[in-house]
Amino acid sequence: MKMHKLLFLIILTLAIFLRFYKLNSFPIGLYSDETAYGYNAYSLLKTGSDEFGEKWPLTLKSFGDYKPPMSAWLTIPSVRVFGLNEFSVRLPSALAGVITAIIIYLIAIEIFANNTKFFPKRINYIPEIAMAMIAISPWHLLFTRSSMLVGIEIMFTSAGFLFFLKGLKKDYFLYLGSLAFISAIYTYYGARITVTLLVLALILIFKKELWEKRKSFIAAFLLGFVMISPLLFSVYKNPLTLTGRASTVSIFYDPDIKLKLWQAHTLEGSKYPVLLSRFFNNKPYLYSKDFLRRYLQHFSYDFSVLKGDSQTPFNLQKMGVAYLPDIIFFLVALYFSLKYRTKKIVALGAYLFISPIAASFTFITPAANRSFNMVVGWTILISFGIAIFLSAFRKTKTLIFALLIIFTSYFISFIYFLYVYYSVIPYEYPNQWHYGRKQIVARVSALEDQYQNVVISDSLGPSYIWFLFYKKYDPIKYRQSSIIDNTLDEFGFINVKAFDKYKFVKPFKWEKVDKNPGTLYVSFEDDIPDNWAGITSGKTYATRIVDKIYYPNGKIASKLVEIEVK
Amino acid sequence: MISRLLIVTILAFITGMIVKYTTKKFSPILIHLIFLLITPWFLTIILGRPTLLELLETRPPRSIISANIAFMTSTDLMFFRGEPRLIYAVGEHGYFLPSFLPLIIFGLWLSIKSKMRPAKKLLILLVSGLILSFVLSRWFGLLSVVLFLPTLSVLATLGFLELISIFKDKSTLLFLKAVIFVNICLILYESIRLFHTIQVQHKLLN
Repeated sequence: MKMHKLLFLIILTLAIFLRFYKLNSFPIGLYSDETAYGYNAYSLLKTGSDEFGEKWPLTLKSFGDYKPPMSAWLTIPSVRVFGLNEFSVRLPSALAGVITAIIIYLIAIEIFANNTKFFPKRINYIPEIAMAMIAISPWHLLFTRSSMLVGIEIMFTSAGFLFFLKGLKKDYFLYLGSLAFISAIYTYYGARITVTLLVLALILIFKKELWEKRKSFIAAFLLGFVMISPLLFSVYKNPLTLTGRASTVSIFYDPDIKLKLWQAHTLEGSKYPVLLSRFFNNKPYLYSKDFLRRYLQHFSYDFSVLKGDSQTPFNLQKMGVAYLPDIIFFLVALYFSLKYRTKKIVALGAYLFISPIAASFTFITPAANRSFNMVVGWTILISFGIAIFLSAFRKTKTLIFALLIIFTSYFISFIYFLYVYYSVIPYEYPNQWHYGRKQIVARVSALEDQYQNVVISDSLGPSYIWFLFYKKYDPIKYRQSSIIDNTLDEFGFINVKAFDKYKFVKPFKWEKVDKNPGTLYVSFEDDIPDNWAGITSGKTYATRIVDKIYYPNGKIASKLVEIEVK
Repeated sequence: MISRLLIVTILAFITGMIVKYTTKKFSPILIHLIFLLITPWFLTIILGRPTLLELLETRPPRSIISANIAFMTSTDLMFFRGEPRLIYAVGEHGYFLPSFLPLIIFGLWLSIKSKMRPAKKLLILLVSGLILSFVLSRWFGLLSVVLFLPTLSVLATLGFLELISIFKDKSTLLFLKAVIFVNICLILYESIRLFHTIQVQHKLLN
């Protein structure tokens, strides 16, 4: 027992250290979404309204993507205590990461502990292995060291899953489960699909047990309904509260299938009857096939080991979201969990296989963020696989040898991840996490008094948010001075054109930008040429570089430029 | 054409024999042959587009074994899109129709859990074929998939036979029966669709 407690404490310390070590500096920059959450929390703290002046909204308009509010709510105390900075914005997510590690430990106890059906008692350390695996998981570390919603969402969803399992024994856990699941819904859009399907699956799997506890279950269900009713009311007022930017990232928005259908009908049009062509090339079949294709990508070797997410900033560039040895233990676990399945193992499997469904409805796949809930089932199953593998070694000597092999393989993989995370990404891909924006704001703030206006390139990311964030700009003043184009662009974003003396230009084409002496121009990387000269009204204008900001690899992150009359 | 027919005849014969050896019956061979005829990888050889030479020259994008594994086991390649660098006579299909996925998984599960020797040998055949193709794809390109695709086809046949026996079983849940029925309908639909695609592709390529 002492050994179990000691191991728990060691792993917990490791989980805390890995999530809090240099939290403000790694990831190297504060991503636009993180910044938006931070500033909205600041605005809510100062004025009780979001950046647009909406009182305690159930969805944050933000960049026009209507973000779920929970992350901003949870960031308020952190901003209150530590001020508006990178650490305070990432703190709730990092804390959620540590709590999730404990939750996974408890889920593993709930499912496997003292189950000597599978293996000798001496290696019944599945909860500790699971906690260690989540503590060093690249997937989990990536999302819990940044304020990317899913770090908090997974804490709620996994807690809901744990409380549900515990609720089968003690009724009051069902109420806690209900609270946790609804909190997940308020945290992330994907959870609206994942939680709904997971709850349905749990009801189906444990229908007999729930029937015996039907009163408590119905009460928990009603509690959940009461908690979700403000959101439902909000949806009635504004449908975007329910879906956010989902419509612009869904497979139904992607022109790919529409193009294929058009192509097929055009090709076949003159040769085959229309009905026949439509029978073979129809939306239900092609969309179902596309969904299945995207779903399976989340279980591919490419996604797990080689490449990971296809999009920045969720891409680890040189590796996937899991470690290479995971694959072997996952396959072992899959086989044995099918062979010795209990209802709780089936529930865990359901959790794992439901998790990528929401992601598969989008055209950006495989998506590590939208399928993030997979990490719970994945980690626990791997720990089960490791325990099964170790149980094959009956003699102490061979067992130690096997343990050494596992430890070494994970240790090497983990060191490689640390190298990628702390060295490769900051050095080779600094813009992935929007590095340079903080430095731009600092330099502009030091120089802006000399200029009437500041024109900033919005080429990559909505620059206004970093100015609001790092200048701790008064939300009321911002609302009064901002000029916003509320028309959604093709990706579903609005456009903040200006506030105070700052103007944001998107797309930023230097040739088309109004050039005036007395204006400071801020480029994104090289989108202002070093030596430019032009003639207007008989006068010759030329650029003069005031300052340059560099990425850690020495490449230009931004230039601060003014116009001189020659 | 004759050489291609010879290759497919040999492949059909060998895999048919494996089915017979595993099931100890002759009748499943017929189902297996029908399945082969509605399998895109098999039809690709018959139709000769892409040619064997083109397949041989199509190597994984990166020449490390880890990348080869990812390339060869990609479900996109296997069930949905094939290799985008090639033009197929079967159109935009993978090696198998998507509706074969449950059959293969089920066949695989059967061979893993079975205590019978033939089923275990099938598993060894698949694993060794996969490993060999991961290594050889560096030199033999996509042609090396022929080392494991026939085994997967055998597994699909076994999976189908088992599904049919589950379907016939009176104690099977109605929901499960409905799922199996839908899958069979989907196989039918996709097979007809496949032949329609071949017709369209044929006109397009000529």
